[in-house]
Amino acid sequence: MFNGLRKKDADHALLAAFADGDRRAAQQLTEKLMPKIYAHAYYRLGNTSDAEDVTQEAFLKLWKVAPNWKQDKAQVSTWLYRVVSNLCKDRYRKTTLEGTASTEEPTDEATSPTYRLEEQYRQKALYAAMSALPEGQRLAVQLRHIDELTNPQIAEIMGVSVEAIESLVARGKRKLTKILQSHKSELGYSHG
Amino acid sequence: MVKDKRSAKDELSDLFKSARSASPRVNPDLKARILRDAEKILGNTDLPRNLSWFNNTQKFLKDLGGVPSSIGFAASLMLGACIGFYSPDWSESLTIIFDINTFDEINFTGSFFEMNELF
Repeated sequence: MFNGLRKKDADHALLAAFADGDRRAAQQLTEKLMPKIYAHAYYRLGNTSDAEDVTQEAFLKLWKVAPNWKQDKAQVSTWLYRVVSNLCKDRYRKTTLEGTASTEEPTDEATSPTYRLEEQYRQKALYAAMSALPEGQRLAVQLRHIDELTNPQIAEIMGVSVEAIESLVARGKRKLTKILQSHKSELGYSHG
Repeated sequence: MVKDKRSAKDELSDLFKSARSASPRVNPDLKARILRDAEKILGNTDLPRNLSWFNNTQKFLKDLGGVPSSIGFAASLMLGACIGFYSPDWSESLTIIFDINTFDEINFTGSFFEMNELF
């Protein structure tokens, strides 16, 4: 039904259809956007249960705002990223204060145990290094290089200019390189 | 295990790629939870849409019971207003027909525990 429409319009159309009582539209939107939003939340929070809660909360907000959604507003996915990002920030702050922040190790049964261990080490090292970045740089780097969004999209999510995003990403990456420098050999890279 | 010398940029790209592949599988229960929420929102009531004044009026008329009902309400409103402002002596003819004389039956100056005799 929405094949001929651009992505943005298709999402808007689905949201409008949901507001008019179309249950299938909710299903389609969920299937389309939930994996990305969940992955973002998971990478920010480091555990599945918090990531699931935050994703559910973000979608609940989307369903509530659907009847008043304006076409000229942001893309639905961008809006969701912004909401989930704020929810993650709150949740992360709360768990850090309570001292319950933990990272689960993602499982991937398809690969060998050795490779999996190496990958897990690399993932943990990157996660730890990213956690050491200031909030703005961390979010910008994650949205750009892990969620693979464009700079204008990130600018919309974070409410700053595209130039500011470019600067945040560049500074974040420089800092990451510096932090990870001391772990080069453990990460499987030669010094030099 | 040790890879060739590569630039810091490449190494970082590798790490990002690795992080992207680490996304856990989505729990099917999460989708069910999200759709349950959607169902609840839809089932709650009519969603509060941001309507224009025209749409609001239309909705109000619909709530009144459609066009015939609205005309009836409007006619009775106008009649009420006419009676209020014009004050025709219709009430007098009605009292004659039904043989009612309210003013005679209420004794405004009647005794109330003989208090009126004090004044």
